[in-house]
Amino acid sequence: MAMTTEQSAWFADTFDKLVGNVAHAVLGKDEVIRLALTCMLTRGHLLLEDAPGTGKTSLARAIAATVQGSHQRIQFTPDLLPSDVTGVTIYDQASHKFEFHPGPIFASIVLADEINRASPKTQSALLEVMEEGQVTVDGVTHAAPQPFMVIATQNPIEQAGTYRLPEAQLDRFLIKTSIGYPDHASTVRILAGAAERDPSRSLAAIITSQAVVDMADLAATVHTDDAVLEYVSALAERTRTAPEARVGVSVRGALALVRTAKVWAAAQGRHYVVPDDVKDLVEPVWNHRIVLDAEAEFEGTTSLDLLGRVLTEVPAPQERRNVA
Amino acid sequence: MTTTAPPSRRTLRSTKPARGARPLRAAGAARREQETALAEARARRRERERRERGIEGARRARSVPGLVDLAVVAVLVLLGAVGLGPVWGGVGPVLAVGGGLLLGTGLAWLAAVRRWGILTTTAVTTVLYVVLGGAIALPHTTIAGVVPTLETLRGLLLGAVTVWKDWITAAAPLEAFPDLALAPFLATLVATVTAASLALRSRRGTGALVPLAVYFVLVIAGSSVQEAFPLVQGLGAVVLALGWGAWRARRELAGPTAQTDRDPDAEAQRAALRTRRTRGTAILLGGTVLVTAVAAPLLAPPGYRVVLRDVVVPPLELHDFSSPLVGFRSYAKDRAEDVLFTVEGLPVGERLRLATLDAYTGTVMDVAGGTRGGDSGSFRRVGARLPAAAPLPGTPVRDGAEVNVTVTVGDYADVWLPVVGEPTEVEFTGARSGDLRRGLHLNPAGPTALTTAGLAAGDRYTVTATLDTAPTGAELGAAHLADVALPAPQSVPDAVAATADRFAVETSGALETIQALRDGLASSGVLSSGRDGEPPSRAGHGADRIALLLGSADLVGDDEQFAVAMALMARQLDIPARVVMGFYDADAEAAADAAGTVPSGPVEVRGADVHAWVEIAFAGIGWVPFDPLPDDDTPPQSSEARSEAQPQPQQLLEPQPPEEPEEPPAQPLPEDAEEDELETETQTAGQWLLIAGAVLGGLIVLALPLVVIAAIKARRRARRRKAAQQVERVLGGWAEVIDLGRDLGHEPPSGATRRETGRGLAEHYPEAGVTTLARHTDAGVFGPGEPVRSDVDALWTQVDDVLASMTRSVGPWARVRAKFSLKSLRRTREGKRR
Repeated sequence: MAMTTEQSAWFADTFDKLVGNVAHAVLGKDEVIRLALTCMLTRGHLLLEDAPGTGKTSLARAIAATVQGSHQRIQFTPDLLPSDVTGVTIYDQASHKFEFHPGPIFASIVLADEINRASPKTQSALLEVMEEGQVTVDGVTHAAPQPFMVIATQNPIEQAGTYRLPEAQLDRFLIKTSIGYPDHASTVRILAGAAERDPSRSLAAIITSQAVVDMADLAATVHTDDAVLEYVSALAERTRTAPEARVGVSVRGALALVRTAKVWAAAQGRHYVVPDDVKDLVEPVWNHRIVLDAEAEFEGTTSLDLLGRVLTEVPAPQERRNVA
Repeated sequence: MTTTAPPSRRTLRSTKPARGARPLRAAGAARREQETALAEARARRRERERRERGIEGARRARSVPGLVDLAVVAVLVLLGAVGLGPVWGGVGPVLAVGGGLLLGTGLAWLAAVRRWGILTTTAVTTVLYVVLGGAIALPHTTIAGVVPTLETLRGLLLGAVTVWKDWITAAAPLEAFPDLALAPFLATLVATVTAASLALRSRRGTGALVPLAVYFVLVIAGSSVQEAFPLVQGLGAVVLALGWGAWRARRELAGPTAQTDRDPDAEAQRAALRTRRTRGTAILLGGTVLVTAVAAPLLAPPGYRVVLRDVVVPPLELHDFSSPLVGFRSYAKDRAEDVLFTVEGLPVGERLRLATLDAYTGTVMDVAGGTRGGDSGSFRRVGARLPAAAPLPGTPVRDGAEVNVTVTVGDYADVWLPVVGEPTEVEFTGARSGDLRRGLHLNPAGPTALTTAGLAAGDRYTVTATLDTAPTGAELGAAHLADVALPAPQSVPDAVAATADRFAVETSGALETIQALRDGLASSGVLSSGRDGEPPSRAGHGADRIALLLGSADLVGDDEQFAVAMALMARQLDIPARVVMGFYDADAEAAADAAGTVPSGPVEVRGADVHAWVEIAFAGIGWVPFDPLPDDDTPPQSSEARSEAQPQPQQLLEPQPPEEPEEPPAQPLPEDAEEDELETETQTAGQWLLIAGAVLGGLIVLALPLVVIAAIKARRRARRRKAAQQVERVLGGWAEVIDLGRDLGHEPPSGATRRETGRGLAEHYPEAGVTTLARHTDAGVFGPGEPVRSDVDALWTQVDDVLASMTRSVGPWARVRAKFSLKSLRRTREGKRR
């Protein structure tokens, strides 16, 4: 069942409302908001990497506040234990039973703040939940609620007191992006609202968790022409064969790109994906999945440079591929 | 609330966002920047390569190999130009070829050194052609041989189109037509510039041989049957071209390998290979020369040569001129006392030939030649020096006395030019000499001449001619009739055959038969031009008049009727006969003792001196005149006796053709000044039309490629609009926009998506709505299912709007350039876009 024009229009409308709501808290960052919401509707997890004080946490909180449902925040510190994330089984003396106390991870939207400050052990625990969508403690499996989205923030990796996330774990995040500093006008507006401590707290939820699940299901029906799929495949192959890349984009990465592109297209009121969607999303979806050759890295090449080159080298499809 | 630890000093230092984590918008911009940078780099590389090629050419032009190239091209051109010698006469158009060669090599060298593009080189060539062409090729039109006049410009510009036809249709030697020097000049100039430029600037250089080969072919096609030094030309050109080509190829190869590979073994091997290859080539060439030398004479008989001028029919339209025989009676009767010409230097007894007539149509005996070809010959444009007369096949050219006859035109106005004997030179003097000379045509088979300008009172010309000695009776008796292909007479009355049979009933041998025909007519005829005191005699020589002549009891008529009747009878008996009209003084001719002497003073030729006679072709002798004229004093025989002897009921006559005009209307009378003027007017108008036509034709030829380009583009658009599949139509609409963008000079970035391309175009054409179209196209292409026809139709309307808006937003010059630009077409071929 393919998405209809009316459905795509509704989708885009709803999406814009969500963006508008979040934008109350995060001024002048519509593109990042759209990306974050796209991530949510693709059922992926978002990694925000930026310098402190750019509004990472505000964004995550605003998104959580917009969606009606449970949301939790975990502040990652070096001494945070995996059980602090997943929950613990405690012996209840009254009932003489072991009882599971779910950790903060059991919420629709989980804000994992400064994820790279925690020890790798704790990081792994979180990433496992992200991947599996469930937690197994003492042989008992506990499913995470639907929708389930982790918004992790991290400081730039060079900073002190941080543990760099391993590549394999970075791969678990659908989108990694940064917010950056607001422009001049937005900064002035933020400063004007200095009296309000945290605007994201005053946000009203405008969408239910169920509606988010529905929208995600709907977005999956966006039509994607084979030509676009071939384009994604060609791009992925090119990242793998590029001399600068030690590890290129995996199949999971390619798949993630297609899924994200569908939501991205629907968010713009289209019921079909165009190559431009792919081009727009290549960077946030793939940037963190590429591991550069040490030599190339030394020379100052970034994965962004690599992706830029790949995008210019692989011609965008102009024609439809014959779908039988 | 975040419980972040207070930022350390290090944290503070690096508050700038890390590289690789730039915000999305900035990153997008960076990507676009990168794309444009890449495209720019590509363009730069192309530009650099082109410049390097240019630099290479400039370097070569300044080096010794470059001079060798130029020398080779020059020698090859000269070898080709040698072929022009015979057709031009003398040593050939030295100034034109030499000037073209010098100018061409100089230009090519300068263009290479200055690194001019094709357009610049062409422009400079054209300018130099116009500026220096007059001095080199048309010096007679210039002031002091250098400064071009309006006539020079006209000659240069129009001549570039018309000179080729004139060259082919003019009779050799062409020396007599100074205007024609333009052809060798232009051909040499173009060939040299092209060849020398290719030699200096293309990598292989051997491409220069192509224009040179074309030049050779042009020269051969434009030459005459006579060849110059075929062996020297051919062998020299081939050896030189091969040697030079090999030399260039060797240098090309030697360049890089000589430095990289210094292995002595490989060196020796290569040397051995080279020796072997050289030997092989030498054997191959030698063999070819040998085989050619042996086989060529067998395959092509000596002297066999096909050149264009033998194939191309000259453009003179003889039908424009009526047969002069139609006006015979007008001269003989009405203008008997008018002085038509005053002739000086004409030996007594010699005849002035006006026209040779061998094509009987049933109404008129028409002039030989024209498009019929065969042995009637044809009129060709000639210069003052006439080509040798064409004797009948197998007839030896006999030397005779040379005479100079000066003719002053009196009361005569027609195109036919009276000549004498076999003319070798005609020189006009007087005010109209230029026009008369330009219009001079000769039919060597006659030989008769005409000038399209038309003779008029006061014109004066001198004919230098060779006179033939008349064959003796014995010679004629021994001779056979020549085998001559003449046009078959049409609508010949039955009386001709009957009379011919009657006259030639007991004859044997050609001469006897001819004499019988002549005597038959002469003895039974009555000479009358219908003048006062003479028996009534109708004018004309149509079928009915001939039937009347031969059918009536008394054969009443004059030269016109008798000559035509005899010629027709002779043709009936398969004797090659023709009628000649001319002038001679019958009385002077009769006075045999004075024959051959040249009278001291001028002789007046009057209308009464007009005559027509019959010529019969004898093998080995040529055309021999016969006069089938009754004596003036032959008394008219009684009609009763005639009718008894030869009952010829009137009913047997051919049906009367409708209204045969009594008086020939085509002969313009001098009194009709108005009509005359009118004719000149129409003639000049015709000339102007011709010039306009030539210019228009040239323009059409020039415009043809443009028309073709426009047509291809129109067809492409129609094909795209009407493609079978709707998706194809959607794609075609977009391709139209892209192609127009290309033609306007905006090459789409390679690999970009449609929207990106659209955004790029929208920067140049913000009004056109290209981005919207890109979005709609994407919807059709990448959307699910086949697009709906009505949607696609709407899309095409949008496409038309976009195209119109894009075209509107540029200036008219850019619009025209885009319309005829090849960019989009080239791209279509390269990359199989639809």
